[in-house]
Amino acid sequence: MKAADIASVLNFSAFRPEPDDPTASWKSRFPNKRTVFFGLGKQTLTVRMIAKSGRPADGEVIPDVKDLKESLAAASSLIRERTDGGWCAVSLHTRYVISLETNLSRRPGSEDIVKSNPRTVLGGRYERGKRYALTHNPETNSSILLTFDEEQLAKIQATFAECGFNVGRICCGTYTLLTHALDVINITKSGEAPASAFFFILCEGAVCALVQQDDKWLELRSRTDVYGPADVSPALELVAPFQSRIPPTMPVIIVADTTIPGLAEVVAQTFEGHEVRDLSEPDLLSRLMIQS
Amino acid sequence: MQIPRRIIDDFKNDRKGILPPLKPILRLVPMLFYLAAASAFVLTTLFIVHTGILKSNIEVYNAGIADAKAQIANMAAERAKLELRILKATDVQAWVEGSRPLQPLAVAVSRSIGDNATLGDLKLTRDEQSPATLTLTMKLGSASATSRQQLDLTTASIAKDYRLVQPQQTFSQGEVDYRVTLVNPAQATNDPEEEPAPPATNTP
Repeated sequence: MKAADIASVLNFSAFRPEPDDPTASWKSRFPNKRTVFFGLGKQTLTVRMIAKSGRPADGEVIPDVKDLKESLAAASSLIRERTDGGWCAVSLHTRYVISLETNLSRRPGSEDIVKSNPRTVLGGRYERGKRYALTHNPETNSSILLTFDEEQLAKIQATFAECGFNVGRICCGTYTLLTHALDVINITKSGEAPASAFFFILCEGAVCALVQQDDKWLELRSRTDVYGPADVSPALELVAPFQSRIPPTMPVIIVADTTIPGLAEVVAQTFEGHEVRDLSEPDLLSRLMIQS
Repeated sequence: MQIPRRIIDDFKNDRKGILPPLKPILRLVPMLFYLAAASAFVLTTLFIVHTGILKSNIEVYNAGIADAKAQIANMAAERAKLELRILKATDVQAWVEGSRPLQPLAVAVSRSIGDNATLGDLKLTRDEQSPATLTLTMKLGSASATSRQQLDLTTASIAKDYRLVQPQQTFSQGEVDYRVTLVNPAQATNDPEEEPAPPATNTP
């Protein structure tokens, strides 16, 4: 037993999850500690400080990020000073694929196994050098599959480490918002009042659209680097074709990483006649990343 | 439908050797440690405080003991003085008791002194070896013509109660130094070894 182990017991840190424990929530990993969340787009880097209270604090957007390492190194010293230990979470908004798959393995724990042994879950859909996350539809044989390039993940993690940050989590903001929307809408028990909705997810330039009818996932579209902070019209243009394909009674569920003024109105104009529910909240992505 | 809520999927390279947190019940271990440390601190503080109090009490007790010893010494000194006074008083008492039989002798001598004579010195000495005898020494002063008569009067008054043995008298310019051994006849009969004194001799 090392002295550090004894110290961790005496200061009660041994009773909390380790900072890089992926099975624990961010809140339980860093109680009363300042951390930082990064949102990494194709050419933007958003920074959101997390206060000791576990609430999102001030943030900034670093535009025109040509070289991530260079931009991050320039701002790292100031950002690190405002954290305890330089711990950060990175939400990737580019270079990922969200797809709708069917007939994937439904063996118990397959959503966890897909991270360690994806071939056994994905079968022929498995590609070497990729990492996956999976959300099964409990009512049908469809699944939402998130795919990342493993080399790109390792490169991003190394870049943040070189700039003095300890990476505690790398996730996909769009996928997080999508699963959050599914949790909010699908609240009935199996066989009771199946839900139908058109999910419209916007996350720092990335867009994802999912059509769910009577608990069945019918269609999913996902694009990255679609819109900028000032103009979301490209995202609307991307999902506009769904207006003619979805039933008139199907509500439109908007979930953005934060509140976008006037978004619900322009979506209502695009999807005329559909009920529009905006589940967006200020700093919603940061709050979700903190809570889970 | 309900989709089970899960932790956000993490794509970072997981570090090997990530340990799960210890069970909450084991929080008792550091709690007991801090409790023991706090108790040790409190007990040590109490020990130090009580030790200080006891030391001051010991100093007070020692000071009290020193005062008591000083009082005992003073009382012993006073007692010694009192015992000395008692001893002296006892001596005085013994002298008074011892001189009571001589009072008639002293009265007889003083009453025998006439108007023209003075008794300069009178000394009665009892010998420890023969307590039945007394040695009388006196100095009579008077005119030279009457000094012998005064001496006769005085010896006559003494002789009523005592037998005069070995009288010695010296006349010098009107003064008579007289010394005689007196034997109480009553006591002398109780002492068979006492021999009768030879006649007095006069020394010019």
